[in-house]
Amino acid sequence: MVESYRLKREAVAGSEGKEDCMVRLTPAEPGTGIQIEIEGKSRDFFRDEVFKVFETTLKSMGIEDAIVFSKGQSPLNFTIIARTKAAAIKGGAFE
Amino acid sequence: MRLRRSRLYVPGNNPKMIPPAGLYGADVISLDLEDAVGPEYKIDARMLVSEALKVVDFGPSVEVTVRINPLSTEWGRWDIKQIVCEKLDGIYIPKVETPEDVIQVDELVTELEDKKGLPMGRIKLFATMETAKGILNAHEIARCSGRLEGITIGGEDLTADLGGERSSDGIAIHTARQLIVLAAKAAGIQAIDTVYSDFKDMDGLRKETNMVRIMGYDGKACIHPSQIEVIHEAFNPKPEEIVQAVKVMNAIKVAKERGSGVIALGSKMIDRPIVLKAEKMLSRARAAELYIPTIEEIMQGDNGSDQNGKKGGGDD
Repeated sequence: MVESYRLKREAVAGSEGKEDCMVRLTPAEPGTGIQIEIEGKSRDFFRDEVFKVFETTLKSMGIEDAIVFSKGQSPLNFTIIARTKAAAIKGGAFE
Repeated sequence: MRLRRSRLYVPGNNPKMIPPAGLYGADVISLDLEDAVGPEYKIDARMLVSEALKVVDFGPSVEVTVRINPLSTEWGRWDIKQIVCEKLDGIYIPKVETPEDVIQVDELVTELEDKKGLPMGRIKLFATMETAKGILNAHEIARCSGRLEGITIGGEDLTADLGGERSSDGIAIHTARQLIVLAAKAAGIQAIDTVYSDFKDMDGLRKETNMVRIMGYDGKACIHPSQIEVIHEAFNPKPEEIVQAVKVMNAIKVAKERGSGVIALGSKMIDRPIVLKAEKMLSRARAAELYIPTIEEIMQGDNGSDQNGKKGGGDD
């Protein structure tokens, strides 16, 4: 069972550059779940897959409530995961 | 010890440059969390490198390493905790000034290997000295950890610390280069040289690489894939050196078979340093997968080139 953590502040990781993605995490009210909005090339083609990556990554870190905004140009999955984790750390989830 | 002619730095916060890093043919890649990453991106880079290490296939022969931030910073310890994994071959520790700087990393890596169920001792360490204090402690640093397989010199930072100037002849750091190679060889580990920062100046790179190879260095760091080939060319044994090494080893073999205590190759006596040099040359050639002719092929070639029909070479 994963311990539960909460974001304490808004935080950004990554960039909108080539093969990168910018991930902004904003704290959300408890019980509101993970709300995701994405912009960029991957938005239409891999929407479901990208949504799943965000959700799985955050839940694996024990974060159940967050507003996710992401913009980028066809990033690989490991980049999305890394940027999401970095934003969560910068957002004070584990402080 | 493995071949480490070239060590390519890859910026740790660049998702475009990390996946193909193993394709350029460098013997070592160093995903860089230190100088290539600004303070505000340290966490981004650490997580990117950590995730990349889990999934990116860098190829079977490249040594995958990470240059961490010094343990004296707020990032160093977190870097190590995050990056230690099955696919990590080594850690480059920057700004090393004392043996303690290496021992602390060794202890933390040991703790993490145990905790994560990884083979104990597989992750190697490399210490970079880039201050006057570090250079003068190189002898002690080089012998302080069983994980340490090489020491390196950081030319830019060292020059700044000395208050000197980086020049094409490298005069400001020449003594430091000699101290590093002496310390490394005394400890039985490798010496890796600093980067040549003008990646468009191939002649300058070739000259500097040849110089450090002659000094006894085993490899050189690089900042651009285009520098790899020049570095390999400089460190690879030349065909004539390989031929000479094969002849030396054959002369030893023949002398042993004859029970002779005196070994000569042509008109030159072969003593122990020449044999050691030949052994090292052949070992480097094998590691670099270069062609090593047999003594028969060499003799045939020597005979073939002699149009007077005299016995070629006379080297045994």
